[in-house]
Amino acid sequence: MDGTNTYVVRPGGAPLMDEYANVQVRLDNMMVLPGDSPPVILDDNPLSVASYLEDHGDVL
Amino acid sequence: MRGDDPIRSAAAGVTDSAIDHAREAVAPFLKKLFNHQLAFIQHPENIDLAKEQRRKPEWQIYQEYVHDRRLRILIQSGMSLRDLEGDPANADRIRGFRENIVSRWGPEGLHIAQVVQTGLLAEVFGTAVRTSPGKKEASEFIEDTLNDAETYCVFVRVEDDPKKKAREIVARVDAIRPKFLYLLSKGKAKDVLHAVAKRVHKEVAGYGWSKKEDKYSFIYVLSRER
Repeated sequence: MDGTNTYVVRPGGAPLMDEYANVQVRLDNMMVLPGDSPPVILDDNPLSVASYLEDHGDVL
Repeated sequence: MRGDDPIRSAAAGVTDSAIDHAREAVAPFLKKLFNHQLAFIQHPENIDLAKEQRRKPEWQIYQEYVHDRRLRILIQSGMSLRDLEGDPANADRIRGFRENIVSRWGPEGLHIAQVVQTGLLAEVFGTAVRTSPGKKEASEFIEDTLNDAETYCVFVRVEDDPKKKAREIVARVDAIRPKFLYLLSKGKAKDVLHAVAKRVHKEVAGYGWSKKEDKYSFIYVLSRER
């Protein structure tokens, strides 16, 4: 399945936005991380990864 | 009713079976995910890139002096950009990364990341520890310089007109007489920076000049003498 243009949505259909990079999370770039409940879902771009590590330490 | 149509019934049976199978297969992963035992990551290379920066001795030192969260993230981003620029195959990745930085932190954020990408932060850090009376003052110097990158750092690009750019720099020096001014270029812009620096050097007095060069960047540092 090609997830390039498949966006992740919240229940109800609202787009799921990456909290660190202000981009809409796509299926092919989705990153689900432990540490919170429910898990954090982000776009896996380097800026978001760096921001997550800065906030949570080297947990990955 | 399903039982009325044997073909439909069979198809539905297959689908239900596939869904049940998928549910059984996914359930253990979901359980691990919600128990904080598992991360799902499509592109692990981005994780590795970010983790590598945090392991570098360079970051181990900077992190003691830079406390502002935004600057810390931008420094790590600039270090990552520097790692990526070594391989032309990373061009799209770099473009996307830069767009993310602008989207989150604006053009100023990208400038700060570029300051780090050129290697200039090492120079700023050296100046800070050399000229500051204590660690607190050194931290302030580094953070102020990064936050005011638009003032203290001039990016010279390959498309710049040397005469016009030199005029802008001379006007800036005359107006604010900064303690330090950094002229930065990357790649082919090095020749343009040479031409700019030659003109500025003729017109600006009271500054010492030094230059730094590596594989990708060329930097002039102007230090006020009095």
